[in-house]
This record gives sequence, C-alpha cells and structure tokens, in this order.
Amino acid sequence: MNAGQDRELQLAAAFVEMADTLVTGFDVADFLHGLADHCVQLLPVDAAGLLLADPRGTLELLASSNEQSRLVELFQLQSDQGPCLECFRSGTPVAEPDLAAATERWPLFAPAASEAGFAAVQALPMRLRDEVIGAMNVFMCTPGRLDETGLLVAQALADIATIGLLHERSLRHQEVLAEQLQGALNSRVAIEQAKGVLAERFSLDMDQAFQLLRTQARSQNRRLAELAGAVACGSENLASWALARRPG
Amino acid sequence: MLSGTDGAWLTVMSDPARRVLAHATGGRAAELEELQFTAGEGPCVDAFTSGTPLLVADLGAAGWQARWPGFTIADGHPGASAMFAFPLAQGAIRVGVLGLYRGIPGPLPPEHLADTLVCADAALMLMLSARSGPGPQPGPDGWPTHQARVYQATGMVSVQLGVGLEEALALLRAYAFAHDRPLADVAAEVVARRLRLDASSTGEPLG
Repeated sequence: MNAGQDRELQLAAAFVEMADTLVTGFDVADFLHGLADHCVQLLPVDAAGLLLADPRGTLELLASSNEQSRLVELFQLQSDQGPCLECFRSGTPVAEPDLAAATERWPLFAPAASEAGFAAVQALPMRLRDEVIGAMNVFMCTPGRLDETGLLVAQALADIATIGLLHERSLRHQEVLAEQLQGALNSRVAIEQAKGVLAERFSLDMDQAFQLLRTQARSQNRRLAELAGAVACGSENLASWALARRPG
Repeated sequence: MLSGTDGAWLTVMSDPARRVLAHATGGRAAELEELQFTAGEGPCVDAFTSGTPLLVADLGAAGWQARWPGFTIADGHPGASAMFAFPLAQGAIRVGVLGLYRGIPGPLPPEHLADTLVCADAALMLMLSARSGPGPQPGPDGWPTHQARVYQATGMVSVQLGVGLEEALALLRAYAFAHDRPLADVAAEVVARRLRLDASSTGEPLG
C-alpha cells in the first residue's frame, strides 16, 4: 500500500468515526477533542485547536490537540488578536507562512507563537452558510503553507466540526447552539479544574493530567465533561486510578 | 430588568434540595421558582445540575411536558410560556441559577441572551465573593478571569489543602488581594509549583 492509499484510509477512518460520533451519544467535549486529534494525525501540522465564539462574540478555546499550558495560552491569546479572530470576522481562511516575520501583523500573538516553537499558522472558518461560529487553528513548526489537498482536508474537518455542533436541525437551532456553547465552555472550566486536581494528586504536568482524564473517561465509558466534574469536585475515587496506573 | 422577559429570579443553592431564594422580581417570578423546587424538576433544576443553560421558548410544547411531568404549566398555573435558566457555575463549582420567564412564548433574542450571560457572570462573581467569609474582599482585579491557570490552580489548591473548589478559589483570591497581586499571576505561580498556599492563605513561596 502506498502513502497515498494509506492517507486515504486514514481519512476515511476519521470521517467514519466523526460521523459515528454525530449519530450516537453526542458529547461536545469528546467530539471536539477527537477532531483536534484528527487534525494533527491527518495534516502536516504540529498542533490544532478549535475556538468558538460565545454569544458575546468572544472567541474561546474549546479543544486543543495538546494540553501543554503554553499552547493553551497561545490559543487563548487569539480572543484579542491573531489569525483566528481575523478568520472568524471575515469568514475566510487566514494563513501566515512565516510567523517570525509577522510581528507587525500581530504584535502580541506572533512573537508568542514563535517563542512557543511555531513557524507558521493557518486558521479555517467554522461556517455554515451565513453563520460563522468559530475557527479551527493549526500550527506548524516549519515555515510554509498547507498544500491544496491539506487545505481541503483541513476545511472538511472544520466543516465536520461545524455540522456536528449545528446538527440538531430543529426549531430550537439557536437555542441549542447557545446552550451547547455555554455548556461546552463550562465543561472546559471543569476540565481545567480536574487537570489541576490530577496534576497535584499524581504529580503530573497539565498535559499528562489531561491524558489521564481522557484515558479514564474511555475505560470507564463516561463522558469526558461529566468525569471532569466528578474529579474536580472530589466525588471521584482517585485511589482506584492510582492502582490502575501502577506499572507491571 | 432585561427587556424581552417579564420577570426574573436568582436562586442560590449547593444542591437542588438545599436552596435559598435570593431574589425575585415579583410574586409570579417567586412562584415559578418555588414550583420547580417543589416539583424537583424543571428548567432551573436541569440547568443547575448540568452546568448548561436551558432556553425554553415554549413550555407548552410536548417535548418539555414529557421531560418534566411534575412541572406542568397547565390551567391555573402562574402564566409563563417561556423560561430561560442560566446556571451560576464555574466548572464544577455550582452556586445557583438565574431564571427568566415571559408570559408569551418565543425565543430569547440573541442580544438579550448576551446581556443575560453578562448578568449571570456578575451574579456568580458576587456570590463567590460574598461567600468567601469574613476577611478582606478582593476587588474587581481579584475576580477570576478566563484563564486556564486560574481553574487549574483552583483544582491544585483544593487537593493541597483538602478543601472544596469554592474554598480553594476563595483562598487564591484572598492571597492575591493580601499581596496586591493579580489573581492570574498568583495562579501561575501555583501551577508552576513556585507557590503553595497554606490554610490561612498567607502562603509561603517555595525555595
């Protein structure tokens, strides 16, 4: 099997998985994190994030392919400045193939991104007809742009994210979207609180803490957001997690 | 009062069974709030437990009636056709619910939704501040910002000191206020493990 066929299989698998998520037991937090992961697996990028606009129009990070604090903050910076904000406002893709030279364009964001080790960035709109609900953001450690195929795949993933969030095609469309976004935002906070609890309890960094949370959610077959809430408020028995993590 | 609705209430509680009604704009609002907690179900109860708003444009629609059989808006009930419930929550911290109602059905317009979210945020901050107990109260700079590190530090401190999340947050804010530092900075120090609070919130820097 050549590289092209391999990639096709990967793409097919990713789309099937996303479609399945939409049809059965839909959980926004799980869905968006899965999508961020697929971006990094399917595209020549090193990090991906999904930012959505709250009803006040402020972009908020909802999922990231990597929970390292520096990356998370880099996404959060973009509520004020950067490719995602431009992309969200224009509804069109925004690319910067050379962040080192982009200080004039984004005086706060570009240096922070360079410092974090990224050389290029691409933002794609999460958009359905007239409605732009956010932006998907990918970072690359080497300068340059996504090629035509990469852009198509990236936009398709962004489109899947959008459809997934707007998929309840009912009279309650606006209400459901608002509820989902606020719920996802609050889940995100609970996830951060849970990361803090796990990082302290098991002496982990934030990314390891998140991976532990996610692994436990899968093995216990529980929604990520729900488990995060339980861990954060102390109702989850973490002693059994310690046993599960013991090597051997 | 936000236009687009007829009345509102604010409920403070730690769980749906233990609540104190903090404020209602009128008798009807108070009645609607009471109804839900007597019935043990309704938009406010769901919003509180899920941490997600619930925007019900038409309570009379069959789907809602089936979801909350004990909370029916039938003849004789105080007239409310639309109800919008907003949890006062910060992640796993749950403080209460902000509820709005309107006598005629219809959605909450987007600009009113945005305003209500701002109000809910302000109410949440006031509640958290009021419940911190005696001692210096953080000013506006000490209110949590939308920073991941603040939430992470909250989780860490709750484990370090064996306290709940809300108390952990109060201790972080009290420390920030006492040392005249932004909350985000204090949180960053905690996350980087350069600062560890003790229960009296004076905290000693490590190393």
